[in-house]
Amino acid sequence: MAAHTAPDLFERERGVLDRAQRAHADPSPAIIHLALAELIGEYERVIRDMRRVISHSDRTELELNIANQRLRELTEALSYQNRHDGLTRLLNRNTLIHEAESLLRHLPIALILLDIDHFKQINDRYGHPTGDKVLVALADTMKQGIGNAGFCGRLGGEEFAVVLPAEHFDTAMETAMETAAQLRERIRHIRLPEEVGLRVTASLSVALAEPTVPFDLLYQCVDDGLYRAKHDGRDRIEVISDSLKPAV
Amino acid sequence: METLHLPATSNTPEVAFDFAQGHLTLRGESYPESAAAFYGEILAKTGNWLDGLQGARVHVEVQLNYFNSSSTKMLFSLFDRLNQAAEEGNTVVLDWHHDVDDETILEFGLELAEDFPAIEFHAQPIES
Repeated sequence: MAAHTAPDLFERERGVLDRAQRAHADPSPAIIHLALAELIGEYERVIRDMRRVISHSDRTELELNIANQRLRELTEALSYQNRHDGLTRLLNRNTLIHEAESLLRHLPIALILLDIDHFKQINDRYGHPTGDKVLVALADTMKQGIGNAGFCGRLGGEEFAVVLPAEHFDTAMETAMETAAQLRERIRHIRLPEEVGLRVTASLSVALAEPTVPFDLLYQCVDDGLYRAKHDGRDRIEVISDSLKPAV
Repeated sequence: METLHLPATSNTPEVAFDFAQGHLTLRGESYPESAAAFYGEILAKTGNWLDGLQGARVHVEVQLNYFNSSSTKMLFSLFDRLNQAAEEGNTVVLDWHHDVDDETILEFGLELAEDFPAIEFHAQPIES
């Protein structure tokens, strides 16, 4: 049975080479001369073709590299959009909760919830574009206020959260309370150039949880505190002084 | 051997060679597993048809969005053979369709025109 040979990309060139090799063994100078002429012609053709193949390949590779770079940029942009709130550019709810849950498996964390007071009235009185500017200004204020001590996000509407990993448990609550107080003060100083009379205040709630406490439990506890802060007059901080401990 | 028709696949172009009408079309993308195998039959049939052609008009339409290096090598063999037919007294017209923004494909077509001067070359930009 004859062995199957795959088609050769260089079948034509191989044929020319075979003829040249056979001619090389021929005693007739005329035969050798003809084979050499064919070989030279073929060699020139191969150089021409290969030059074009390589230049086309190089151009295609360059295009692919550019397309790859663009794809990487789009992927990064999509990943950013997926993790951040479109208006304030803070972490979105899902990302903040996911990050906080991850931390809380190993570290104590303080959670601060923050809700802008009478935000509906701001929207009603000044319009939604101004309301959006208040949200953005508040987000910027939060980022500046927290610095590298933790991270913050927008949970939805006018509600925000700050997560502070507590490396030193003993001073963690004090640090969280200071941060909350500083945030409250900074928020009171927010001014919009186009609405000079607009004042912003926020109600806050803060609690500390030890590692392995379920994040849901911590969140519920701080959310209840935020409700009390609202109920008791707003523009204040509700502190849950006892840290949450894991169930025995 | 009046026609050679191969439908397009994900990695090979549509081949519609109507030898009776002298109208040859290649359309799609070309990165076959074996370019030598895919284009081998096309080259053989086209070569046989061109062997018997005299004073004829051949209209070639190519619209390839992408072709790999192996395909490029085989396409050169095809155009080499068409150029030879043109040098032998036939009229070979090549319509080279390319996306208006695709300079890589256009460049390749212009190089073909340079290398195979007996073929009447027309770049045909396609608005995307």
